Amino acid sequence: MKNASISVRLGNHIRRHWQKHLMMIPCLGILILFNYVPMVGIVMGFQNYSPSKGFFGSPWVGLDWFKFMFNMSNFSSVIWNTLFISILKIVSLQLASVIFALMLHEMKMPRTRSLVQGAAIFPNFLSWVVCAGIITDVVAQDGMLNQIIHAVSGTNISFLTNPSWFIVLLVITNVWKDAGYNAVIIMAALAGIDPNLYEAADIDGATRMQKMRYVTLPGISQIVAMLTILALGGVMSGGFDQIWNMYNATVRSSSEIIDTYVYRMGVNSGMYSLGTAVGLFKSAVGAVLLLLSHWAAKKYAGYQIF
Amino acid sequence: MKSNLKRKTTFDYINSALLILIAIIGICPFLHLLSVAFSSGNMTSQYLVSIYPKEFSIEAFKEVFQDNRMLTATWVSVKRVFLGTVITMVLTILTAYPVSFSAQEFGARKFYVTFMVITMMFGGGLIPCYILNSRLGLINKIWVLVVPGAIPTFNVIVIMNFFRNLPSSIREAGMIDGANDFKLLLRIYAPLSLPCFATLITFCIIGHWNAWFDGMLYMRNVDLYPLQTFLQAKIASISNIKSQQKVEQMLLVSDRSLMYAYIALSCIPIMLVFPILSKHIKSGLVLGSVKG
Repeated sequence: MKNASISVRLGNHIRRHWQKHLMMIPCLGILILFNYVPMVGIVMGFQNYSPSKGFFGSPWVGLDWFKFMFNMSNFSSVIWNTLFISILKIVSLQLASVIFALMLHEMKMPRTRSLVQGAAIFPNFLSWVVCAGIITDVVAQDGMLNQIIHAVSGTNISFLTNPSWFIVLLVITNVWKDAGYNAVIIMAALAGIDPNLYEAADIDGATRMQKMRYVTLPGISQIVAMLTILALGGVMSGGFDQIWNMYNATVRSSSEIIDTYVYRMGVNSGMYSLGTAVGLFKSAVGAVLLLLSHWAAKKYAGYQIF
Repeated sequence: MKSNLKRKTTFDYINSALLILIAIIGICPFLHLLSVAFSSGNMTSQYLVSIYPKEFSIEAFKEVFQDNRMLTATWVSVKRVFLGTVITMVLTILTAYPVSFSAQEFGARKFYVTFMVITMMFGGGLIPCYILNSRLGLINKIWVLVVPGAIPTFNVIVIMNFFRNLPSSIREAGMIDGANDFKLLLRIYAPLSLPCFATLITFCIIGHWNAWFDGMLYMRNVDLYPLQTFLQAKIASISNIKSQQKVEQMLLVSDRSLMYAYIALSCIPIMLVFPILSKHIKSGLVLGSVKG
């Protein structure tokens, strides 16, 4: 009896919705082939994979690659670099975006404001290949920036060869490229603040700073919290495109991140199994962080992806 | 009271001045890019050009236009942008439609959403994807650049949210008139969502134009590199030469002008779509997903 009702319901469902299911077929196909099959491919991390023997012929080695990975002298510094660079970038980007958005919001000349905004979001739409090409030339020993620094202080700064200055460079250029766009997202929240609140504050005799402190900041705190939380979910990637296009062997000690390491080991040196193992470590930790961040975003900012 | 609000205070002047200064510093690198590209080799190889051209010259651009590999790479990129945008938009719209219904209306929604969310949270990583695509025989094929990432979940969410915000009465009217799902999507949803699609199309074009890593990973034949991958290899080789040799002077074209000419030309399509894009961004359409 129960079975019959299920099959009747299923029949009804299919009759009503078969076209929706048909629409989902390409998505299912592509996601299964290019997202789920590679998830099965992580077995390579437990094998001594060689392309000639394939998945099924390569010998199993258990956790050997993971032991190897954790015993490598530079692995802990790669993890540390990734987290350090990511967190510096997230904090600096959020801070700069909020300040920039507030400044733009207070600007009273609409024409100039939209010009400034346009200039600020432009770098976001160029690739890191282009941006890094320009930046590495501008900050080179003889480059434009060092000429200015030399004129002011009498010395040059080796942005591209000094490991610490290179991190500063990464953080600043990241702000330059992304803060404008982030600020526009925050400004959408600023535009959504009820104007009555400002009028009420005016009647109560609030100063500009007080209005900012008690009306504007609470109005954007939610979206800023959400952007930060979501960014924290991606803390295991430190920005492959930027670093790959800007770094060189002299600053690798401070700026080798997991993704660049996987590419150099896995693809350039052909150590597929090691690359897979390191990648799996990153994905696993990253998935936990993403789940946590989405849970937190939902709990504290009412955000839901779907 | 009102005049008090309108009057500009010292704060306004300082604020505006600072913002304008930030904007100028922000575009300085691009001014530098154009100035170096348009200056003579003599000036640029000695690092004498800042933000305006010196000894104006278009020799660098002439040299770039004679580079056949640049043309080949541009053509690969154009093909890629076209294929990628068409495939992504069609598949994304098809995917967004069913999941825009609530779980009550479409019982399988939860399954599909979970299926997509899992791919956002976890992935096999670079090497398994690379091995898979090689095994599928996709090395050196343009399809490897457009098919594996053909359905960006972010875009699905944006379109889904847009569909959900359409008034439900329109949909119900269509259903009463006997429209099936395909008709509903094609005749009612799509025409109403054109502004949203336009924004995503520009994003798609920019994304495909800017992508370089997959080209480096999957294209063994240099003639199949898309423009950004070609540019990446070019910049790397130019800076290698620069570090090996002493700065050569008195040349017609320096390596720097040449590199900047390549970069400047590669940015033209972005500059063409940028005005449309910044208009859409200001209207807040792109933020659909962020607002949830």
